[in-house]
Amino acid sequence: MSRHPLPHFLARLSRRFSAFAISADDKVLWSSSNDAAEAGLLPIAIENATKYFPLSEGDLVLIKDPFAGGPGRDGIAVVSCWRAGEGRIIAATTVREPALRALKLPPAPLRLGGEMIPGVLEALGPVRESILKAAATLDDARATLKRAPIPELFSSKSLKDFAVAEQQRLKTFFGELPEGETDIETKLATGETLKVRLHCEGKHIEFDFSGTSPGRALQMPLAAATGIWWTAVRERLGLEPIVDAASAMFLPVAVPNGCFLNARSGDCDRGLEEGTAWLQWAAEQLLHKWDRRKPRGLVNPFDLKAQVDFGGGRVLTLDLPSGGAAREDVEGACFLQQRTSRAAMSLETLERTWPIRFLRVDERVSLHGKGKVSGGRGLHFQFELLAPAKLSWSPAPPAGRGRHEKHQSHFDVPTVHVRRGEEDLERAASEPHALEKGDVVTLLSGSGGGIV
Amino acid sequence: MQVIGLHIGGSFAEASVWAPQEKRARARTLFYLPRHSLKSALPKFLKTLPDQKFDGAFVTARHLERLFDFRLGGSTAQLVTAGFERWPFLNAAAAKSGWVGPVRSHPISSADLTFAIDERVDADGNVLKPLDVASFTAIAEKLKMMQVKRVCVHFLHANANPAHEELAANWFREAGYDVSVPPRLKGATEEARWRASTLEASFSGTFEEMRSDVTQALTEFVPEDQILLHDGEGFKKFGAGSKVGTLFGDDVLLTKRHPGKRVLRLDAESWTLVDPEVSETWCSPWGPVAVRGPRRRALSVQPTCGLESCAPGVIAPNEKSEGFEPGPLSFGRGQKLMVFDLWADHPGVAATFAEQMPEAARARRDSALLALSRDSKHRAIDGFAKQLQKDVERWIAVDAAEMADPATILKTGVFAPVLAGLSLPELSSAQESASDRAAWAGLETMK
Repeated sequence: MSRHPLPHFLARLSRRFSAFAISADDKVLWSSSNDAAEAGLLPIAIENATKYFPLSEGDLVLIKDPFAGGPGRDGIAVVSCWRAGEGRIIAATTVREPALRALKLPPAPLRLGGEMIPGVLEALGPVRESILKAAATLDDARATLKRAPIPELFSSKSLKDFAVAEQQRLKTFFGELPEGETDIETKLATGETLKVRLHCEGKHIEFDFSGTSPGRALQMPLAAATGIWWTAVRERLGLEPIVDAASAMFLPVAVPNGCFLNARSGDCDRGLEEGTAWLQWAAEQLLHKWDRRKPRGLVNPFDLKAQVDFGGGRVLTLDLPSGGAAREDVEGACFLQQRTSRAAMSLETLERTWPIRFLRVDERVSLHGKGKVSGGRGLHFQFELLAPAKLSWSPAPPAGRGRHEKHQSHFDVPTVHVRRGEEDLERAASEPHALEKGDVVTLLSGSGGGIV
Repeated sequence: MQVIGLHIGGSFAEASVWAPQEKRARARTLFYLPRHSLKSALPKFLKTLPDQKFDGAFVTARHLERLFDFRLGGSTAQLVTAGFERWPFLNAAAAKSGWVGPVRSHPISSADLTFAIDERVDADGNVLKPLDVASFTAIAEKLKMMQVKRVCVHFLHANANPAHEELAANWFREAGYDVSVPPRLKGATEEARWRASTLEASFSGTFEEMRSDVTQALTEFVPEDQILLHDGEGFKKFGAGSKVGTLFGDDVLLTKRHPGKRVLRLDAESWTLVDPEVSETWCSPWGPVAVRGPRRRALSVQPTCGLESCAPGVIAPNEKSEGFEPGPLSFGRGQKLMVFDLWADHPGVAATFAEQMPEAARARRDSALLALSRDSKHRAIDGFAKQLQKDVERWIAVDAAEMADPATILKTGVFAPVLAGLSLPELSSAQESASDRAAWAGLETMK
């Protein structure tokens, strides 16, 4: 616990939102999300909202385009001005709705001078209610900011004290890390090459992505890539997985123009959906190669993300985390709530809401044996379709891929099986597959790495 | 006419004696449970009173919170719809979330004592696979061998059609088992309901010990049928209500007494904000649990958080609450300076804790404070202690303001009068203890 209550207050405030960023005096104080790309994108949304619109207190701006800081895909950023003028405070969050996938919207004000903009509200169509709900939550949080003694936390003196204390804390932290240089190169399942060099000297770690290829299937804006990278590296080093002003200072990142992690235009939906796990995987590989002081299993960031599309915009998303890695004498964990985004999965609600019937929910039997300390098992979800649907899921790396040391066992990768009657249907992840009523779908998320 | 109000926490118990229409308690005391057994200390206290005839004893308890750090479920079996036996274990709360080193909380039941039952009801309540009670005989024999006496029945969609659940529960009850079924709360998920019944069964042992201690302590003073425990719904005979619900009994009395107010409870054991809004799901250390009660949120600083150096020159409370076992330095127990120690001999609370604080313990507390002050800017121990108190008060004020509008907050508890520098000027204060509330509610009931 830091003596300064500001980060603690921001952490508590961020629990109200699935993604939350806040800046004071144009400096990012805190950006966190269950979707690491958003942690990098939301500060850019704030920057652009203030650039395009002269915001006064209570104004709201919507940003959809990822190149302007929006989350893209089925998400939209809602930016809210909490305090205007000197000592400006701007916050942002994300709304996710399947219907947003089709929405094209330039950065647009939703509320100016206390008045909602009718044209923008109308353009939002069926997602209007969700966006108004997010706006109300932001307004409620804005009211929190006015309560004594919270304004003191955001005074110039307090912010300066906090910045100095944070710099001191991180300087001490990075000063104790081993110095050195190393690099990795990894080929993604989608064809891109990801190359990154780490150089740690003194009080910070530099990362250079020179040699990373242009996008084939995946591309993402630089802000998303750095957001994923910083949160992954920070979590791996034992720091809070957030994006803040100190991240750029202590973990500088160089990404060449034109590579798939620094796209300037085009469709980056697939990159944002699938790129996160690959970047986390690269961070895991690189940091493990650089610092092997403690034996531990490989972290498996490849969760199983499956979508069952029943048509008419009704899409069920099932997101099953892979097991946790073994650490010295501690077995890896296997359970759903290890990632905060899956905290509310309820089998009976899923059965009530969707035409599916679960047959089995269990831990997955590992293919890699127990070893000395086993990694956390994956999850085994099996359900029967009660209506025709299209099934798609994110691709996983081939089994056994990636660097691992002698003391490490490799992890199971996520897999999907479909059974129709007595027949097993072979399926690949690349395209959505048409399934019939009665088909049985088995989703197996991966395991964490063990120690042999 | 006079009644006893009793509140039993994890480490402290409070007792007070009240008569109708009187404005002050006739007597009041606090027991530190690691030192005082309720069974002997309570009668000793009651025997000091001039009038030892009581018309009732009204009890609230958060005693079961002492189990929060333990692995539960060693003697409780679970019957679960086949295919979903692992579900209660897979969706439990994480002690630490994340993709690098997630840590799961202690399980509340044992996988070895979980039995798959062939039955299935769909979301609309239609029976897809009928229940075969013949399979219970083998399970009962195994449970007998393992000396397991408590059984929980957890069938998917029993909320929509409880026929299978009732059949299984009746069979095991008739076979002599203590059976728990999930509460029928519509707003709660299946796993929250299952978790509630598992906890209900797992709490049985400790609950029984508490019941035995209280009834033995009061046997000379109050007839057993006049000893009533609040289970979140009302005062009931010991064991007649929900055990999990007892964790919320005092909060229910608190919110009834101060309607519409959020209450900042600054008690000896824990600091929380209680919201009058009733929730059907409690965010327990094991995950959501279906139980109806006021929403309770813990402050990030607790009285038993250790104080330590977190950066050069920076001393702050640790995130983890250590609890009262072994206890604070001021009580002559434990090795680590805690937030509690900063106020333990403050004039506002000194009378409450004086009995627990031997002189040698104060000296140990002061030397620990002195040692810690060497890592700080302060050289004088008084200035250092005051700075730490100010820091803790600031944390509490920020937490409270983040949770609710201070104008709607009322503070109460042992530490309420001494945490004066909360910098929340609107905060009003209520000088009352949990045992007072139990006694007042009891007197109301007797009317």
